[in-house]
Amino acid sequence: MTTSSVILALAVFGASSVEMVEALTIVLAAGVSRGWRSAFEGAAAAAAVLAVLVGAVGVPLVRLVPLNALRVVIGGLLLVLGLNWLRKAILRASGHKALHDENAIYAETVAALRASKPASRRDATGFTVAFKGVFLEGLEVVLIVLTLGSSSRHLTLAAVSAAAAVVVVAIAGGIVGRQLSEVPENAMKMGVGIMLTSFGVFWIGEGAGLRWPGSDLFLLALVALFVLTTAGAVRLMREALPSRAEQAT
Amino acid sequence: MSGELGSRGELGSRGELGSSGARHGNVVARAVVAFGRFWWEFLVGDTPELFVATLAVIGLAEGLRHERVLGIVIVLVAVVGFLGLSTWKGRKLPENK
Repeated sequence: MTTSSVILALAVFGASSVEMVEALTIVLAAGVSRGWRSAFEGAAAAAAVLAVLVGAVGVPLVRLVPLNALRVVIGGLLLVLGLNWLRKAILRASGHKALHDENAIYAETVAALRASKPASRRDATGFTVAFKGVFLEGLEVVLIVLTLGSSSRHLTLAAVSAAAAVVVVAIAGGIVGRQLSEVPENAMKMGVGIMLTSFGVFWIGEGAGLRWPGSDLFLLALVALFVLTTAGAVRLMREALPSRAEQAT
Repeated sequence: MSGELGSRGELGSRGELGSSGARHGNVVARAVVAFGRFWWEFLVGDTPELFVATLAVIGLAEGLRHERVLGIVIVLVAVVGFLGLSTWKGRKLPENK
């Protein structure tokens, strides 16, 4: 397995885990308030649609589009996504933005869904909420699987890594029996943001014709560069945080 | 991306459509709008500067592909610089309570 394959598998697994923790919160809220059968059916239907999307879009992408053009476009998508994740993670880690609160989202969703009782064991609202939760969170996973998988010609590895993350989060959620609020989501997002940004820059360079020293190994240098940049940015942004007195004025 | 819940009004409106042709047209139009909105949110959203940054990085990489080391250095400095600027723009200000 090459360096880029290992980083690819880690990036897809990490990104999928973060998104699936968010989806799990919604599925659990739907299950608790509207019944488990509908929630599970909604989640399974969304997962099936997402899997079909990967097959339907990913396979033609890999086979038909010229590799260099594909790498520039996909590198661009990864860079936009990675920079966004990284920016948010830096702002959250430095206190400029509130952390994602799965407990609050869970309580809010349960309260909204309990406003009306389900009429039978099969509940359309529970199904729809679980479907939309898994589908919307999963779409980002599908994009990451397609972009990373097709640009490196490792679509199967990317899909398997995403599926592994779904299984691990589902099992963890089943064992814990509640939303995974203890997961260090921001740290994971930061790690994935670093990897997506590194891959984005790498594929843009490869597609455009820049020659990276050490070829695939240069990915490690990119990861190191963005780790250092992120650490520095968090430190600087903490210093720029207004004091309580300043915020009160 | 956040998992936004659909309102009950949204679900109920599906049953109020007229003929099957109108319903089909409505579904297609909604799908196109939703597709466009998804990509707009994904690429631009509330950080248009990062979209512009990505286009600039692609342009720099294409333009500097023959400059071996200089091209790499400029591309990397640009990415780090754009990330720094966008993060700085998103900071909490005393007057932004």
